[in-house]
Amino acid sequence: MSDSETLRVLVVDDSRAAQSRIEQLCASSPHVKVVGTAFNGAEAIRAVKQAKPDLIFLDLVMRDVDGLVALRMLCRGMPGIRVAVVTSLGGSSRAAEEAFKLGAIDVLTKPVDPSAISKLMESERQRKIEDLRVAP
Amino acid sequence: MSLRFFGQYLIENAVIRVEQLREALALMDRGRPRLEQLAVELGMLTRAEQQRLSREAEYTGYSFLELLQDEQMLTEAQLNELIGRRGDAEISVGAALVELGHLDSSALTLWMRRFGDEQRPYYETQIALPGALNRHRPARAVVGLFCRLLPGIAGISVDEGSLRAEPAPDIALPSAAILARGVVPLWLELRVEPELARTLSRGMAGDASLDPSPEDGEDAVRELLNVVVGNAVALLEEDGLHLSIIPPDPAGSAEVERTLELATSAGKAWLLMDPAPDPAPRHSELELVIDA
Repeated sequence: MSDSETLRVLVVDDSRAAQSRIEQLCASSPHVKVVGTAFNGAEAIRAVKQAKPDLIFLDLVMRDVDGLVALRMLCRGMPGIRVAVVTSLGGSSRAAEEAFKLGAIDVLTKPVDPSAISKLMESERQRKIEDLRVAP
Repeated sequence: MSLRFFGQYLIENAVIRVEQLREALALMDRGRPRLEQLAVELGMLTRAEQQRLSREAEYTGYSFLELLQDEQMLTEAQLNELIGRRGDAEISVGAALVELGHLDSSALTLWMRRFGDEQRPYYETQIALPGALNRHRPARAVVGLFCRLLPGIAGISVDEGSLRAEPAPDIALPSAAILARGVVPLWLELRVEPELARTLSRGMAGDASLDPSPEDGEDAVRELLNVVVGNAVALLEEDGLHLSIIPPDPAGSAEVERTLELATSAGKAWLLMDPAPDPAPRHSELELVIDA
């Protein structure tokens, strides 16, 4: 399998424990690589520019620049970017609706369901492979 | 498992696509009465007050409702009436999907039933709290979810029968604080025994061999509080109680009215609560610099 078929993931969460959980789930797949982590929205925006991830896992409730602000900036500034929100507020219609409207491709609730994360990563990887096939 | 949004549940089960959900949300928005208009129509705000808050909402990125709550311009009864009136006029995401032809009504009924069955355990979380706290709905939701979610988060079981009003020991313990602000606010601090913090850290990371530092323990306690209170916000939203959460500085403490002690399989935890906190500062001043 070529590197180009590996899903590159960025994890944004102000909790080291929450980051570790997602990193561990990523590590369980040979086709997924964590290319960066960030502790708030501002760091996330910088990390996206540097690491060029295929998929971002973004928390919403963070100190400093929170997730909704970061999501708005990412989706407006980088059309086509793939952001999955992972938040304790995922069950809240208000928060989830806002995240989807801003451009999130999914909203997952903490505590995370490992199978939901794995399923999402695999579908995003398949999507990337398909995009590579049709690219000129 | 945890509390979820119905639209996300439909996507996860491949009933709809995210683009269809966004269409439904846009349809809901078009039919949704604006809170600021309703507040003026109902005589709760003057036009000038409404315009000032609308400008502030645009400038700060905060919602009109959050600003109303922060500035305490309406009574609790008025806020509830306002939210209720808006809710009465709203259509649900399911109804919007049916109207757009993305889902037929019999499928909607079926999926709503399945979703309801999955989510019911969280809504049936009932724990009696000592004294006046038992009448405080957010406090009951938080303690109930603490007991229900902790096993799934970190494999730690909670002895619900151990719950009692008992002060935390007067020593430094791993702790975190959070503020749920809204119509019925709640300030909360969670303190745990060091061994519980370490077990929590290992459980959250999913790595039993981890040797967590004290900072890792504090981080895990903070994340636990975030998860429990975030889920409580979602739970209470269904009851029409709108709250938002911000992680405050634990040192900016409120007056603790009650401390509850809980025994878990990895040590004791204490929830310190103030059901009537001062509103927190709305915004920290931030400058975000992004490289071109």
